[in-house]
Amino acid sequence: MSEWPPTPSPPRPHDRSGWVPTLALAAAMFGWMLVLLFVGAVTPDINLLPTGQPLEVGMGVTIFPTAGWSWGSDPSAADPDGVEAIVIQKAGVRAFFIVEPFEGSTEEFHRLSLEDLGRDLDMFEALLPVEVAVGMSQAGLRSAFRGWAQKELLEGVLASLSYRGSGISCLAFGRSGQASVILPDLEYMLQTMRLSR
Amino acid sequence: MSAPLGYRSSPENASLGPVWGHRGSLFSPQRAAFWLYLLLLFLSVGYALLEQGSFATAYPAAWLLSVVLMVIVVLPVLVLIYRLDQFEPEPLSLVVGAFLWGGLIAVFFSSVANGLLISFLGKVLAPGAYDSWHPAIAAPINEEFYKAAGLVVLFLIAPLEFDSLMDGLVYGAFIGLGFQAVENVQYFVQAVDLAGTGDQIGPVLETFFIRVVVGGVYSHVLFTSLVGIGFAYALTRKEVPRARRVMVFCMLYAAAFFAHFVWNAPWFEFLIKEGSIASFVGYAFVKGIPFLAFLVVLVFMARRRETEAFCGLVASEAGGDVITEGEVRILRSARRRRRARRAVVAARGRAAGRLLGVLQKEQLRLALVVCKAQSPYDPLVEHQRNRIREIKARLAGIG
Repeated sequence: MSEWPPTPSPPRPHDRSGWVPTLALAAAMFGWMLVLLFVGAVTPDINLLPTGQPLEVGMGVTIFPTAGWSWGSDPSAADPDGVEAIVIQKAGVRAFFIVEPFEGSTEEFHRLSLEDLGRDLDMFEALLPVEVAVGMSQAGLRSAFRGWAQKELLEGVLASLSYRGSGISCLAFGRSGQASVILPDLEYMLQTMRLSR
Repeated sequence: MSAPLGYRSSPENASLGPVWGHRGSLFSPQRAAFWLYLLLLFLSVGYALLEQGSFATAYPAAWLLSVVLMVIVVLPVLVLIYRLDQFEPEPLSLVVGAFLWGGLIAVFFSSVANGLLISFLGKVLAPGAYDSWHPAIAAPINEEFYKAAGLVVLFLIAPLEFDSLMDGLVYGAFIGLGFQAVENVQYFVQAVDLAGTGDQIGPVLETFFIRVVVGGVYSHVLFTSLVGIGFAYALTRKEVPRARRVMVFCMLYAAAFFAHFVWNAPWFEFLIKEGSIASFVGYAFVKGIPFLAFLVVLVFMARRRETEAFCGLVASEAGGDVITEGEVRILRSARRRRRARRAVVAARGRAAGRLLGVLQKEQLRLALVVCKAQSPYDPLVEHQRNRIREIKARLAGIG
């Protein structure tokens, strides 16, 4: 540690100030960010869902996404035993719309769905279900929940409806505080959901 | 009269190796790059204060532990890297400047650029591909670029300090270490935030284990050291054709990029499904060890070149009363120097051991003075010889 307190280097006979390479470097550093900003602004989002256009979940169930939703991914959404699902996402929240064969009441389907969810999350807790409008005229159930997955606290809502041999559920979750932001979107998509006749 | 080996005026010494003996400084207001550095530092300090302030406010205990842990880890690594360049230690102001570039300026610019690039990737990749690959694509592109920019700025501030491969390695490693230290604090606090259990230290310790204990050696220090060696090669190996120097720099930059890409890529994740400590160690080993081994080979080569340069510089002095052939052999290696000091301590006491340490330092410095001097009769060289003779006389009087 040979140089402290620091002393300015003495100017050398051929020591130019080096403005040109310095400005070139500064231009590269800021320029790269501008390039990214520009490219990001002009590139269309291939995953963005068209607002209000029908989106088939399966077994005759269709939703109409509100603005800002895009395709999401989760390999666990596809299940071989007759379960059909799609995943969409917005603002850090993933929403799974799932349709599966089910004979029974909405209350029973909702309870079973919550039990499944409880097995996947640690320290799972859910609020008592409240009624939610599904498909214009049907009464489904909705519960808010929270739990830990891989050391991450997740919060979300689960809405369920049993309808003519199908169990329809909407499971949306995100990090703490995120899910509440998209709740109006979810309620609208549940309300406008088209169900099989 | 032609100067003997080691002196710059000697024509046969044009490709001798490093031009040692210049003392550059970060504080060089006559250099435009110094002002750019100051401007960027000012911007970045503002960002860092806001970010760290928000961490400290939200999770004071976890943040404090994160900072303390990083200080404990970083200090010995700083000393270790600084001592790698055993024959010509770099000016302290420049290595501190390199560390601050990595920890403040590169972190700030990378953070903004990563946000923009990740947003772009979210638009052009399918969701599954985006989830798996965006860290592997965005981080190496932006972070390696902004860390490498630090090497360029330091070179523009003190061009004469980049005179050997070891210099590039040291500055690169310092930039990488600064980046890694600040990034780790971000990750530790993020883990606390994700856990959602308030100001707990458990997530900090878990993340520390994974990012520092298991994966610490395979991270930014490794990546930027590779870039630094490539940069120094392009600058200093003037005897090699320019196209080849540029190619070597590009290859080492690509190696750093690829090492970062592999580290962030979702490959070999089956190894950590088990979640045990051994599985994490194995995962990090498989992903990081090929690049670490490559860097170790480069460090070995750079050190060997420095040693050869040292021997060349002191060749004209060796064999006299200032520095014997045997002393040159010892001075070549840090291990031999330590062993010699221990032997003297055992035989003649601590004071003699300390004095031998001073003697070795001055003998190493002789190479720097010789490199700077124009001839063996330069007063600076004579002064240094006399200083060594004086220490030797004092040493002979002990025990």
